Amino acid sequence: MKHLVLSLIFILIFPFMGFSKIKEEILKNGLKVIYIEDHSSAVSTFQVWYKVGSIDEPEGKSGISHLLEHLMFRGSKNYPGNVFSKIIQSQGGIDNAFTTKDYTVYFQKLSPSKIQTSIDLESDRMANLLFNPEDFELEKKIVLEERRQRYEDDPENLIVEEVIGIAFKQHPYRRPIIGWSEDIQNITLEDIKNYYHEYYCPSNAFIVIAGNIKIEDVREKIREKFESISSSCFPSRRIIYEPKQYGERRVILRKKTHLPMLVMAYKVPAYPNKDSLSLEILSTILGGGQSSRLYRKLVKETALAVNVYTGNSALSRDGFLFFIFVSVKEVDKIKEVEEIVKEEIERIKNEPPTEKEIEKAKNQVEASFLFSQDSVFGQALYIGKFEILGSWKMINQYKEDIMKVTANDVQNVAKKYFNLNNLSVGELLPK
Amino acid sequence: MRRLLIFSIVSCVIILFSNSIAGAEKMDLKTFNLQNGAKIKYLYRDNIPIAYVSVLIPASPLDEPKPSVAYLTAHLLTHGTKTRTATQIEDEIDFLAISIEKKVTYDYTILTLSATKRHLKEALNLFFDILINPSFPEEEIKKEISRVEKSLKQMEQDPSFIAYKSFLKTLFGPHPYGRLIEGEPEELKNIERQDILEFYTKHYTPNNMIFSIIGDINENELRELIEKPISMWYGQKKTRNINPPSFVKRDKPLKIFINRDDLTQSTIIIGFEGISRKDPDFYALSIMNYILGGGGLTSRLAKQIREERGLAYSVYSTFNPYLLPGAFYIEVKTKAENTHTVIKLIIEELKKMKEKTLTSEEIKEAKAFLSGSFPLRIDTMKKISEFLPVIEFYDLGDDYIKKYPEYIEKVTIDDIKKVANRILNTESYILVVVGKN
Repeated sequence: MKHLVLSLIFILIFPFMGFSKIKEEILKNGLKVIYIEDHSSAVSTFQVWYKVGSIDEPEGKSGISHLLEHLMFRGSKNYPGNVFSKIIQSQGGIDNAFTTKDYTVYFQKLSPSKIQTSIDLESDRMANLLFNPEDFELEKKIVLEERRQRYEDDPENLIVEEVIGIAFKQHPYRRPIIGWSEDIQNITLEDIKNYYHEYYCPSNAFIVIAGNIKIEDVREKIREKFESISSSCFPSRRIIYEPKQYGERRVILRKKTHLPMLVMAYKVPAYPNKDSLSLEILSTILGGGQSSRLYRKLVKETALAVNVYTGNSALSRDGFLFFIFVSVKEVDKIKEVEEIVKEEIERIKNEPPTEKEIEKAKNQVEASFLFSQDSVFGQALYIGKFEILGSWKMINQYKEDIMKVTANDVQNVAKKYFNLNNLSVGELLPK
Repeated sequence: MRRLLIFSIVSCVIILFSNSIAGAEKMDLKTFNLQNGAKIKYLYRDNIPIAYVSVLIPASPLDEPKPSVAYLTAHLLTHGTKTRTATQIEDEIDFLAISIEKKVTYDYTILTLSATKRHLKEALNLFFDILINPSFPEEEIKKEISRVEKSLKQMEQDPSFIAYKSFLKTLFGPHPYGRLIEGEPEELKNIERQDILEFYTKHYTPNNMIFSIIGDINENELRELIEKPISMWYGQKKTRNINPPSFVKRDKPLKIFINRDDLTQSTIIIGFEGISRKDPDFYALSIMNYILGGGGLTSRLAKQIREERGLAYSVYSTFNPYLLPGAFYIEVKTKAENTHTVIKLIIEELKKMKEKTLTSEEIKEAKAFLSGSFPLRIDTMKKISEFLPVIEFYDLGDDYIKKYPEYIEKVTIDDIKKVANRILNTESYILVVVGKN
């Protein structure tokens, strides 16, 4: 009875809260603008999302999306030189950008009274980026330092890069977002220009503006600066496929580390494939929190591991990987740990999770959604991730679908995807 | 009895975001002082059905009889109470989808509960149980020590961690600021249950605790679910007995090299004595630091090292204004062969900051950023929940948020010059390099 009452309240709160103040419009050049009015804090965020990431990169040019992201801070026609961050910061704002496998986002967080600055800067670099050869060479050097810092000198990130590299043979997801050093070095300024003209245009982008704004105040400002930008770009979308995998794949990396790390990655589908939602619930059951099955078994009961966590990426443009990461205490126990993980996976395949586990996972999904609404930046990101998949309005369907996942669905996806012909394993061992 | 349980004194109501920079709607913050000495800061917000409850406990490595005790005490709170086992607590936290974060700083410990409105009652019940009735089971202590030991050894592979640890030790010597909050892996075995019990009994007393509650909790709920358990809790009254670090005088730079042949980059830290939070130079140093290396890609160091030469991806300066004087330092990572060039560039920039004039544009921009970006430091309920007790702890005044832009605006070019000459020790800095020989 208690469960029934809880479920009822859940349905009342979860699917309908949060998005009443969102509006969208599409400008004449195809640029979509999504407005989120939220007056709960004093700040606002302006985000420009480009539908381009490492998934779109041509062979031999890995890292070009990210390198272009760096160059976007080196000036545009009306704001030449290295002035973007300087202008934003002198208005009391902060700015940054990030590149993922599926998209690239530029953002500012600042007072709503300064939003015109974001509009001026972002519209100018969407239309008129400068390509100074000296800046280009400097940014290449900076990106190579970034790669050294984040991957070459960080064994835990490096093993993940290697596992992704073996999990896919053909799919562009196999390439690191930051790029391989050799590719970064070989990218030319001409490549960058062509890439910018191919992917950075209004019809391949959208704006999310969120926070303490009034839609009627910002609408005209955005239209004035962005609507005149030419929409003529024809982003090529590669035909993406991944050949069938035969057998388990494994990479062993020996680096200076104290704790060995085990990384297991199963190829899985992305949303709107509904299996991706059952996999989200499965991820919570296996590795979400200290009461999860793998944490209990590996950290608490056997004390073979220091930590364990799982990660699914339902919101991807194409199917990606379900990860299980374990920081193992002793190097000679890594095989035993892998066996235990596999036993736990078999257990799910043979017997569906309990109703209580399903309810717990759904509570966590609800809470993580509600907590993400605490910041206007978080709200805007949430909306943007769905818009990349087609439309932010898919959120309601997503929430409805994830609440319908059953114990049998979870068991079925474990059976369907967690098999050796879908698995890549990485072992990070001390040198 | 009922009267005792209701708010004893309503001391003040202050307005957040009242400055024109923020331009947001006003929000009423209430402060309640309870008879047992605990303080409650309360802000009602119902735009999302969630709530945060933070509690700041004045207990840190400054109060430790042995390293790690403050850290372990805070982290072991969720490992068992008089009526709940560790497993039951974990089950409840995950099932209710709540989180109880524990952060131990060099000056205080802060716990933050996050819960959805739907599970608030159970969440608060659990939160006060772990805060008031922890049992610190022997078995759980052993497991946690083993986990911390392993994690520390893993962190010791990280070049930034190695460099920072070595810098702190060199600067502060045996003072608690000179060691990591988590302690030393080798010394963990010396800790006994009694150390943790005594630390808890002595320092986790309500009389100095500062609570903050923000979110979808009305005043009735606040009274019943929060004030009641706190008011019924009596502990020893305590005053802290803390000693400032005694810095060893250096008459020339102290250079430390830690060899790591496997690395492609050198991690470089250059630093020296900084200031305390109550130091009158705090605001001048904030501006100087912004211009030097705290201002992201626009700082002088970032410009010289990253933007104009491409020698690094990350370079910054920062300072730790604790209850007692902390450190000021610069960290950068660069390809091994560029190590000397980068060190030289940093020292040149430090000298320039001391000797040459700052431009009025630099100062104007720094002030505009520090004042203008202040609302970003409190732009979520969670950030507010953790910020309010800190304002109280460092005695910054209830009007601190409103006054901050004034404090910044008052700083003159001479103040900045003076603080640069006081702090930037170009004659006898500490240099730590971790990298390839």
